Amino acid sequence: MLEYELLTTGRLSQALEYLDKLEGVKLLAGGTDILVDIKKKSGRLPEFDYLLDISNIDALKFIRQKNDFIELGPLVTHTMIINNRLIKDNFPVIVEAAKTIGSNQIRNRGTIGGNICNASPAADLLPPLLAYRAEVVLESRDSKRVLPLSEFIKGPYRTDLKTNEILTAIQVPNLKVNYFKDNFKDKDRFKENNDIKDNKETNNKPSNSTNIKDDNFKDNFSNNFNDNFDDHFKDYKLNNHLNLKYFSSFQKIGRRRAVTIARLSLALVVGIDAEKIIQDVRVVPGAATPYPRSFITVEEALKGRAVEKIDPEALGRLAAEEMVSITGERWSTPYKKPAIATLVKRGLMIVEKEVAADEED
Amino acid sequence: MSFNKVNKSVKRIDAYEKVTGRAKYGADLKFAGMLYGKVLRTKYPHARILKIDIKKALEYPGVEAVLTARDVPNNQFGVIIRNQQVLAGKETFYIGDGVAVVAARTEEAAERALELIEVKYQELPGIYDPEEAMKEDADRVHKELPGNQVIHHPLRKGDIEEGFARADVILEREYTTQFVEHSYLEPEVVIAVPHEQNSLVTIYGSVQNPYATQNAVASVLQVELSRVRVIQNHLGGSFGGKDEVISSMAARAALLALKTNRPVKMVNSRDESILESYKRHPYRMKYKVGATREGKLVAMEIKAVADSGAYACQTPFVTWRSVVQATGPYEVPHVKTDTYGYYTNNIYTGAMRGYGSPQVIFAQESLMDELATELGMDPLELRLQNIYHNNSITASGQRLDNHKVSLKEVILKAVEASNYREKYAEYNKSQSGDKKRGIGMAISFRGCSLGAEAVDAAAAIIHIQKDGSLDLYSGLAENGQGLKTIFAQIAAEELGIDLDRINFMEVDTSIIPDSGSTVASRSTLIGGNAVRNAARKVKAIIAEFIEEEYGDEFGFKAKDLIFKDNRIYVAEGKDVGDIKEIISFKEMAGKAYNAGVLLSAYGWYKAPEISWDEETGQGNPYFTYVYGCQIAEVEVDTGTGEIEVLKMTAAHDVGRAINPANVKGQIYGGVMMGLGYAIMEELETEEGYIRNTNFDGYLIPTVRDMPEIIPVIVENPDPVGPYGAKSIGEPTLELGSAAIANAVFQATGRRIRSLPLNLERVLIGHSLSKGGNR
Amino acid sequence: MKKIKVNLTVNGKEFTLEVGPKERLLDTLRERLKLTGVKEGCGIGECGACTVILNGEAVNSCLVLTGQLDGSEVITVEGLEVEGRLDPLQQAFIDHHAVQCGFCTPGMLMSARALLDKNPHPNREEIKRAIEGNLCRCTGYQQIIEAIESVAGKGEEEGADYFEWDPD
Ligand SMILES: Cc1cc2nc3c(=O)[nH]c(=O)nc-3n(C[C@H](O)[C@H](O)[C@H](O)COP(=O)(O)OP(=O)(O)OC[C@H]3O[C@@H](n4cnc5c(N)ncnc54)[C@H](O)[C@@H]3O)c2cc1C
Ligand code: FES
Ligand code: FES
Repeated sequence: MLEYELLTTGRLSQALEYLDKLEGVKLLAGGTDILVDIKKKSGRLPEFDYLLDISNIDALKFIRQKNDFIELGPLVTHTMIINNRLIKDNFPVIVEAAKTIGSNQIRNRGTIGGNICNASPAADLLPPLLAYRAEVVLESRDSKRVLPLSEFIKGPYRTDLKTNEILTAIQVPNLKVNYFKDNFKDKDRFKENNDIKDNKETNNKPSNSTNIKDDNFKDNFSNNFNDNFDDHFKDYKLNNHLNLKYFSSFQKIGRRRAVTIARLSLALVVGIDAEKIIQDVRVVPGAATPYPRSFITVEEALKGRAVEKIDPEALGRLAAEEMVSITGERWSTPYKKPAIATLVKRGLMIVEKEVAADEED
Repeated sequence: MSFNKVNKSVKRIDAYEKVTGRAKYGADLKFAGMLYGKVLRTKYPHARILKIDIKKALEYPGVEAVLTARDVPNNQFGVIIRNQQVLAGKETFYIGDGVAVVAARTEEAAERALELIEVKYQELPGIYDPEEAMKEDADRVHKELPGNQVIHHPLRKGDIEEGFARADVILEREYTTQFVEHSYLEPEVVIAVPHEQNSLVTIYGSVQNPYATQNAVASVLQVELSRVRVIQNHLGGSFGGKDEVISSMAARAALLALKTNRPVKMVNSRDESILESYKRHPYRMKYKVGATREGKLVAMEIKAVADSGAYACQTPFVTWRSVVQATGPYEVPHVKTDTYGYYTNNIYTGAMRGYGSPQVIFAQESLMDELATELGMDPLELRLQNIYHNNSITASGQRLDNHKVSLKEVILKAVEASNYREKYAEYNKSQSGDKKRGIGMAISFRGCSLGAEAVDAAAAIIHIQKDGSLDLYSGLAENGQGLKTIFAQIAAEELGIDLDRINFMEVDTSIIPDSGSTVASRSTLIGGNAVRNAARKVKAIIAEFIEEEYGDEFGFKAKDLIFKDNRIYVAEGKDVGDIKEIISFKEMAGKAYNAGVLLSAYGWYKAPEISWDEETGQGNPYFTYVYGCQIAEVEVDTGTGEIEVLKMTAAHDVGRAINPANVKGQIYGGVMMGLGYAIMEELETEEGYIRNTNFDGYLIPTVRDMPEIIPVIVENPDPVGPYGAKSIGEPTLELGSAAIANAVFQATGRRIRSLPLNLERVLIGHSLSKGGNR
Repeated sequence: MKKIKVNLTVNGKEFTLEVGPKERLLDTLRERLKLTGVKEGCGIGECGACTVILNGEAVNSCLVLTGQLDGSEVITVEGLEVEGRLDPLQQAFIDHHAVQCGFCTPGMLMSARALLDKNPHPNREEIKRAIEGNLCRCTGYQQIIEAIESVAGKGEEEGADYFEWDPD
């Protein structure tokens, strides 16, 4: 029979202190995963002696706009996500996914931090967060590091979380900034015009030091990067590329119409330029692979293509092949193959349609 | 006929307690000195028990008793065939078998003690498929029995060879259905209190059938019935499911209570509930049908095999209902059916709302659509050509002549309410996009009450207090379906009083005679008649008393009295409705009491005669029938396999609706269960193990799965039923699966012959599971 | 095992409790405070029978440890009725035949109450979303939806009526 002590605190520093001092500590946030695991004596649950309740640490409950990203505290509940304008306007796929999670009661308790750290193959926030290239901030008493979510998730129900760490923030980068960083940050022109030094090194690199975004990026760009983004690059020759318009969707298949774990899901984010060329694309299915990840083959196949020219049907098949190349033939493959093809096809058709509708406006 | 209390949507008399949280369910009860009981269940579905060591468990602090099969005076019980073990002694037969029970001062201590019981098992090979169990050389699940067959019901009508010889078209199809869990929201609870008020043991809890539980406990303890008292509590749903499983739980709790001389409470967790409690029978059905080119049915041959699991439980009766309904409500001159139940080492199966009909209706109503497709006919027209009318002869040779056979009326009303014809034509045209719509129907006739299964009688007691308030006792139990309200309405109607004057007492086996089980949608019909009978008896006593007191003064006879509005009147003047008050009901009660008049009466009702020949399956198995038609409209996502049920129209002839709002509630609830059965519910078993033991894996419909439901209540009063009322509980869920499967076929062109119609079956045509395809 | 001290307001009354590390809010309410209107149907957050309002939001009390709740406020079905006056939702459940076996009813009422507190005039879709985590095996949900709609549609006065007793 499982025996443990319950530790409570309202302060992050004390929680980190506990983690530092004690062995065998498990974190408790909304409890909608871990309390179920405890009740079911789940084999996935490692042995622990202390359950550290972080749910009352107010400092971990926030949603705020930073210069080039939106930052969420790990204790942000699914309900908070759904009701938040900032997220809805900037990252609608996260909201759409949050809406499909569990029931109202579960959404009121369950947190984004818990969803990430539980790292279920079917965790509904993972595909959108991965699609938006989210990064996680991990703190221990003496250190702090920032990691792309894609590197934090190590496998089914496995993360890179160290025993003395707490996930303290999730940063979702502004789409355009992110796209820019991914593609052009080392271009000469960019350097000249914007006078940014060494961004290449500090970016995307796990680092224990400080939050690069807060410091370097902010200073080098402007105080209100998001608002002035387009201004900034007015005369930039790749402006056309940067002036992307984003279209996105979240789809989820479940065995019933509510309170259902994803049998399969798909987060799709597509950025197109003025010529309707796909410049930026993220295709991240959930529950298709042992842990959610970008379907790179599909993304590559889409990049640089004109929206009217894509063949959703063929790309759906490509996604199915990519899935099988990752998972091999499993018992569920005969179903998931055609189903993932459908989701990808449909997601792209939605994009086509929205692009067309957008044109008419 | 006009009524004051019946045929009205009066509010439920138990609703107030339930909305305020006051209603006490089994788990809410506490007794002084109460202990907590827990069951250790087997590790393997089929195993020999070599050794059980309870020493460490007994020594654990707080533990008061640990019992094994050795401590059970009579270890076998059962309503039909006594072969269910209270605790497994030498051998376990299925994964839910209990091996030992513990009583401790806290639930935690009891749970801890379970871990300390050491059991040595020898795992044995088991039989997990009835097809295997049927084989000549199969191992026997129960060694003392000659074979694995629980039951075989043959039915022979006409000459099957000749029938098929006359057919222009012959179809042969095979259908299968799954294990289904009742999923009552309240898990099972029992509390056994020793030596309370002169009973040896009193059982409280979520008991669906107090008499069956009383019988089982008395037989296990080897004591007389009157020493075991069973008192029912508010029941958080049952649907046929809180019978044998409660009997065994009650027996275990009683043993612990007597051993420790303290009350013992046993509450199942949801996982324990799903692991142990019996399920709906899975069926494998082979259907062969012959018809003329014009669409007239000429012959039907059926072989249906039910998985009984480890015990006989209700298999003989469940399969018997299948026999009568297997050919559907159609005139077929030549019929041969064979319905079997076989033992396996799967979880045992028993009664569940519908009782043997949902399986065969799924098969047979799917088949009718397949035949229509084959013949190029509209499925509705094919049905209308073959359905029962008055004086039709059923497959079992019964002439339907003692009640209105309203099938055609019911179908046409459903067709109209659902706009079936138009929609059918519309959806037959080719549809663009991945999402396709379809509409489908299913119809049935259903025998009311127990039929030839068992004695069919029930009791009621009406007891009027000296202030005119009334206690009503019934031998049938409120399961949540609204029985208390219905019975109170009947008593109120007869006695002309308001419902708030009636106090409905929970079933207490020491007060009221064995009325059989609250099953088979028999309560309103049989129990309602008993209540009416009791009320009429009291009424006669009152009338006689009033006549004696006031008859001369006002010049009337007992028979002229009118009971209404809590008063007693006599007709006066020439116009109908001119009445004069003699006395209020309340005042009358006081006077009668003072005059030494007994204002109590027993009511008893025994169902009309029926007949059955087990050899040929011929006879009059039920004394009356109800008729239903449900029409489902669906949208199928042919890219993902998802089904959205858009609308269900449910038309049911109920004889008379004693409480129309209640009838609607039964329809809504039944449609929901039918929908769950059709598209999502399935207990997943693998070699006798159960994979989904809670509501995260066993999915039942949420509010968002529910379509718009159009209830159509059809009333053709039955000569036998109280005020003409018949049944509604079960017919509502037996039709949904076939209606939905037929609609899915129209939408997709894919005929799915196995339930449930899950994502995989709809998208790729077969199901998948970790253990391979099933 | 170390106990945790918790101050908790339940149905307007304050309690100071010493609880163990495994004690769920559900256990505290049912076993200690005898509020047995709160039901347990699954213990893993799937059925909603244990729903209570915690700091203004509907939650499954089986998935909350009482030790987490210092300073919190809880309302159970027993707290809906004030001085013998039923909450309009309770009355509506009676009037609309929204109750059969009644086991889901307390949780259903709390989900509905939490909804109406935030959104006094929800539409049918919003009502369904609010109770999607409350399983009912008896009613097919139809009459429950009708009951909630009947209160939701009643306008401000009825809402105000309810707020009178709000402990805030
Ligand atoms: C009925 C039901 C339905 C559900 N439906 C869905 C669904 O549809 N989709 C879905 O994705 N999920 C679903 N879930 C799962 C669950 O609700 C979510 O994953 C939720 O987001 C978990 O958050 P939590 O705060 O409750 O996590 P907890 O249970 O508190 O924690 C989960 C894990 O994360 C760790 N953890 C939590 N916070 C941190 C932190 N800040 N730093 C480090 N580690 C941390 C914990 O130690 C634990 O290992 C469902 C659960 C239930 C019970
Ligand atoms: S008991 Fe809490 S949700 Fe079922
Ligand atoms: S009324 Fe029985 S579960 Fe809802």
